Amino acid sequence: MSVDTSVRSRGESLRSDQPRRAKAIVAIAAGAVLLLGGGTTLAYWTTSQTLNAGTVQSGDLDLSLGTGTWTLDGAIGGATAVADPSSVRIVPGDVLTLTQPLTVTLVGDTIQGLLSVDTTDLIPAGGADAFTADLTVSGGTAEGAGTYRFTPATAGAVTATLTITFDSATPDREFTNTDLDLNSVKFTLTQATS
Amino acid sequence: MRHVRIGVTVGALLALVVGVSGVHALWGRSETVPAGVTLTGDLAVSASWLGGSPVWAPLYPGSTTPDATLRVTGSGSGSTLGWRVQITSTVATQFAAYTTFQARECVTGTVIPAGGYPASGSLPAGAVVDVCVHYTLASNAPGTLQGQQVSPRISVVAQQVGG
Repeated sequence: MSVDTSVRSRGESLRSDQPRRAKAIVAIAAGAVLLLGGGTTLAYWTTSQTLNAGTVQSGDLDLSLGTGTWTLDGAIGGATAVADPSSVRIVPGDVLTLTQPLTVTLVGDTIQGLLSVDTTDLIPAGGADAFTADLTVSGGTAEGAGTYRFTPATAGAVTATLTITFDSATPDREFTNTDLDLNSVKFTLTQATS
Repeated sequence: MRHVRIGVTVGALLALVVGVSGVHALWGRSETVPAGVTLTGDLAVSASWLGGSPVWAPLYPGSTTPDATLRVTGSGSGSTLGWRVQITSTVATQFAAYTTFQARECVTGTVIPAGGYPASGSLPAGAVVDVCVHYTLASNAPGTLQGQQVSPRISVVAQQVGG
């Protein structure tokens, strides 16, 4: 009697699992159909053609500095060449000039470049009235203060002239024995955005 | 609806980020100038009496003090530095209208101009100038000035010339 009961109980258990199994089978079948469907998509006819358009190449933007020369022009004595600007001591009224050969490289059908100089760190703290730095560049088109626009046509070897002026109106003994870090003068060429 | 709003917001933020980073992604190249550090110069002046501070004899109308010599030294530095010396004097207020002051370059006797000595050109850094000075009390000085202190004060200025 006990064996029969056991068999019957297992049978009932199998019957109660049947809906769950059926659902699993349906799900697996659906997945298989989807997979087969995907697989059969790849098997459809297809064709491709390569575009015979050659190779397009990116352009270039570069800036390199040649050997610059310095002159010192005071109200006394006129302009004189300076071999080493770190050896001079400038005083009010002096104009220290850097003549800097540059090579501007601009390659690109639509490229234009803006050349500027950053003298932010050159001017000592509080010295905006006593010291000024002005840039002029041959070949470029002046665009705003200290900025010049170049195109591939006007790029190439150009000359930048940077003048650092110690205002002659500097009173008393302001800015005596003060460092001006010429190493901080930075020429920058950036791609124009407009 | 809420999901739509979130989606729009995220999309807008992404567009902003892409837009901003796009500007910075444009080509650029910088070069610095290897030129070292230059230094500004300096200018200072010192003055002292040769032979010690003068002992002025009492002045009377029409009299002039003996010359006293003031040694002026301009010190400093500067590749183009030039300077001139200016000498001015003041006396007590009541003597101002009756006292004249004269400063001359001792070697040449050139009167120090109001604009400074030398009148043209300039002195280099480190130059020394001996200046002879004296005072004269006008002959029409009133008797009310008797026994009073003239209290002369002399100012020496080194003025940079040009640059």
